[in-house]
Amino acid sequence: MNIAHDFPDSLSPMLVKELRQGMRSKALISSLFLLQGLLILNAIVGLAAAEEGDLTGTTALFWTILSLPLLLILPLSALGGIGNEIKANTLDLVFLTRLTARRIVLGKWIAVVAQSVLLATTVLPYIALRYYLGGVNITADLVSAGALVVASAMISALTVALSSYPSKVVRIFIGIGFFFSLQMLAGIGAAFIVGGRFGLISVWGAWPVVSAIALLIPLFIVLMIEVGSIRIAPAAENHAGMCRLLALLALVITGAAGLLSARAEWMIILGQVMATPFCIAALCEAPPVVPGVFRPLVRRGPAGRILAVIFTPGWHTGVLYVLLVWLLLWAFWQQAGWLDGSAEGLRRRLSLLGFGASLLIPAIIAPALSRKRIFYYIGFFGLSLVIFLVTGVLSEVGSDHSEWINATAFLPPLALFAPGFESLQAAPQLIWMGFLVAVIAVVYWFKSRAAWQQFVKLRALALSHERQNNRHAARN
Amino acid sequence: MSEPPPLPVPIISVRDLHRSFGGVQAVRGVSFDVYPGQVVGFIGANGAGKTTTMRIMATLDMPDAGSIEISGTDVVNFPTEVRQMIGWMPDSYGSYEHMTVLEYLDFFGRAFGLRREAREKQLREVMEFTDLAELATRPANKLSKGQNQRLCLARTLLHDPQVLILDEPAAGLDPKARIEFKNLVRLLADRGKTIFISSHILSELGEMCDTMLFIDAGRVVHFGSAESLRTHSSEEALIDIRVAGDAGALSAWVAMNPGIVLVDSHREGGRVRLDSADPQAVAACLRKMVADGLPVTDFHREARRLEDAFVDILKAQ
Repeated sequence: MNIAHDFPDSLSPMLVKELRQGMRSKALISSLFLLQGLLILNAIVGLAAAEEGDLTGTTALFWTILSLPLLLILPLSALGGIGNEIKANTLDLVFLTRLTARRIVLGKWIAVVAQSVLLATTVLPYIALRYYLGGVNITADLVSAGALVVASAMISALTVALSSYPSKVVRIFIGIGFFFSLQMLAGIGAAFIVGGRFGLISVWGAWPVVSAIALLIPLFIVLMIEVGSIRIAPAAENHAGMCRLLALLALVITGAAGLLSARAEWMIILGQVMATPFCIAALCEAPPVVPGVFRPLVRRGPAGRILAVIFTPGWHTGVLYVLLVWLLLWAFWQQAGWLDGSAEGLRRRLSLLGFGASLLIPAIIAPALSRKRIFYYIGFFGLSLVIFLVTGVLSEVGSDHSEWINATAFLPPLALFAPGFESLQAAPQLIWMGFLVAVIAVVYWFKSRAAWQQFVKLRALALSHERQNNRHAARN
Repeated sequence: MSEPPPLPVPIISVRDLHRSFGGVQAVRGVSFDVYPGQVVGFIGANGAGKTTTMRIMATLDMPDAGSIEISGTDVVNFPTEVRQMIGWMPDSYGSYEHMTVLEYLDFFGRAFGLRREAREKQLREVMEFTDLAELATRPANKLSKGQNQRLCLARTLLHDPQVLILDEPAAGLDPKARIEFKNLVRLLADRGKTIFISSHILSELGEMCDTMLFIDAGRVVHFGSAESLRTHSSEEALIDIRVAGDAGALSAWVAMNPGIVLVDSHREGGRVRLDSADPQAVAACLRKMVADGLPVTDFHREARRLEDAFVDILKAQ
C-alpha cells in the first residue's frame, strides 16, 4: 500500500484529491488533445505561410487556440466543482475533516490552475517554432502566454466561487453580472490605454497603476476564494467580514493608485466598481446567530471588538460598512479634485450621493418587509427597480422639470441622469436630502435594534468563550 | 469513609433542541444524554426528526433553539473541535469519480491530518476491519451498496473518533451485507466506541444497541434500555402458541377466555398476552388449553418485540 507516496504530505489534501480526479477528467484530456491537434495544424499552416513571409493569420489563430482551453474550457469545468459536491452529499463528509471551507475552495482553484499551467507548458515548443519561423518577439510571446495563465487563474477563481451556488440560475445571473462588470472594466481600461477623456497614456508606464494591478490580481483571487467559502462554511465562520475587508483594501489600493498617478484617476472608479457587489452583499446579509462569528475579531482585543461593528455579517453592520466605503470614495473624489464648486463638480456630488442612496435606501427598507434572507436580495433589487420607475416617471411627468429634479436628484436612478439636467439648485436639494437622511436613519434605528441587541449579546458570549479557552489553554 | 464514585459525564448531551424548516417543526424540544460506551438506537418513522437531530449533532445543521454538546463542547460554537471527536455516516452520500477505494480513503486520511506513516497504518487497519483490502484498486464509484457502506464506515473510522453517529447505515443492504454490517457495529461497540445509530429495522437495532431512543413527530417518546422495553411490564406475559390442525381454534379459544388477548396470529397459531406474568398463571393457562381440548404442539414465553414496544409507546402517546 504505497498510495501515500504519489503526492507529498505538504500538498493540501483537497489539491491532491482534485489533481487525482482532474488529471483523469475528460475536460483536461480532451483539452490537451484538442490543443495539440490544433497547434500542430497551425504549425503546418505557419510553415507554409512562413515561405510567403506572412505569419499574421497564424499568430491570431495561435492565440485563439491557446485561449480556448485556458479561458473557457478549464475555467468552465470548475463551474460544477463545489455545487456538484453539495448535490452529491460528498461535501458534508469533507467538512467533517480538518479542512476548512477556505482550504476546500482554495484546493479546487489551485487544481484548475495547475491544469492550466500544464496546458500552457505544452505550448512552449510551438512558441519556439514560431520564433524559428521568424517575425516573432519571443519575450512578448512568453509574456502573453503568462498573461493568459494569469487571466485563466482569475476566471477560474470566479467560476470556482460561483460553483458554490447550487442553483444554476443564480450562477448564470451572477456570471452575467460579473461578465458585464469585467467587460465594463475592460472597456474603461481600453479607453484609457488608447486615449480617453484623461488623454493618451500608457498604463504600463505608470508605476502606481502597475503596482496596483499587481496587488489587485491576487486580491481578486483571494476575494473569490472567500466568496466561494461563504456559501459552504459553517455559521460559526466569518468569511463575509474577510470579503468586506478585501473589497475595502481593493478600494484603498485603486484609490491610492488613482491619486498617485496623475493620469489614472479612473482607478478610483475601478475600485468603486469592485467594491459595489460586496456592498450589496453586505447589505443583504442576515445577522449572525452564533457567537463563533465574533471569535476571530474579539481575539484581537478592544480594537477587534470595535472592528466587529463593521466586519461581522449582517445588513445592520453592512450599512456602516457601506457608509465607510462611501466616505472613502468621497475622500478620493475630493482629493482627485472632482468635487469642486463647478456645475460639473455639483453633478459629481449628486452622482456620489446617488451611489450611496441607491445602496442604502432599498437595503434599509428590504429587511423591514420580511425576515426571510432570500427576501433581502429580492427586496433590495425589487425596491431599486420601484424607485427607479417612480422617480423616472416623476421626472418625466413633472410640469416643471427642474423642481422634480431638485426634489429627487439625489435618489438613486436620477443621480445617474443628473449630468443631463442643467438647472440645479443646491438649497432645496439639501433640504430634501436632509429629510431623506433623517427618514433613513429613523427606519434604520428601529429596524436594526433587534439585530444590534443580538450583536452585543453574541459578542459578549464570544468574548466569554475566548476567555474560557484561554484559561483552559493556560491550565494545560 | 471512601468517597462515592463520580457520576459519569455524558459524552453526548442534547438539551431542548428545536429545528424547523419553513412551517414544519422537525424537532421539538428533544433532550437526552448518552454516556461513554453506550450503543444507542435512534428510532422513529420517516420525518420523525431523526436525521435532523443527527445532522445537528454532526455540526452539519443549526438548531433554532437548544444545544448539543459532545464531550462538553458545543457543536454550534466549536464545530471544528467537535468534528475531531465524531465520525458521521449519512444515510445517503455520493462517491468521487476517477478515484480508487484506496485513493478515496487516502484523501480522507490526509484531510484528517494523518501524516504518511500514521496514515498508511490507519488505512491498513480500517481496510482490514471493513474487509476492503481486496477492493483497494476498484473505482470508488463502482462499488455495490454493501461495499459502499463499508467504505463509508472505513472513512468514518479513519481518525479514530470517540463517537460514531450512523444514520440508517443498514438501509438498502441485502441480508448478507446487513449481517456483516451488524457484526462491524458490534465489534466497534466492543472497542468501547459510543455509537448513536438510527434505523427502521428495530429487531436489528435490538441486537446491536443497549439503549433505545424513540422519537415521534420531533419529540422523544421513550428513552431507556433495550432490555426494559422487552420486559416492559411484569404484569403481562407474551406467549407463542402453536396448535395442530386449524389455527383458528386458538383465536376461538382466546375469545372465550377473559384475561387473554390474541396479539397476532400465524399459520400454526399465534401470540397471546396474559394479564399476569406469574408462572403459576402461565401454567394454569396451558392446563386450561389442554383441558379444553386445544391440540397444543408448542407453548413458550417470548420476550416482547421492539416493534410491539414501539407501537405501544406510540399508542400511549
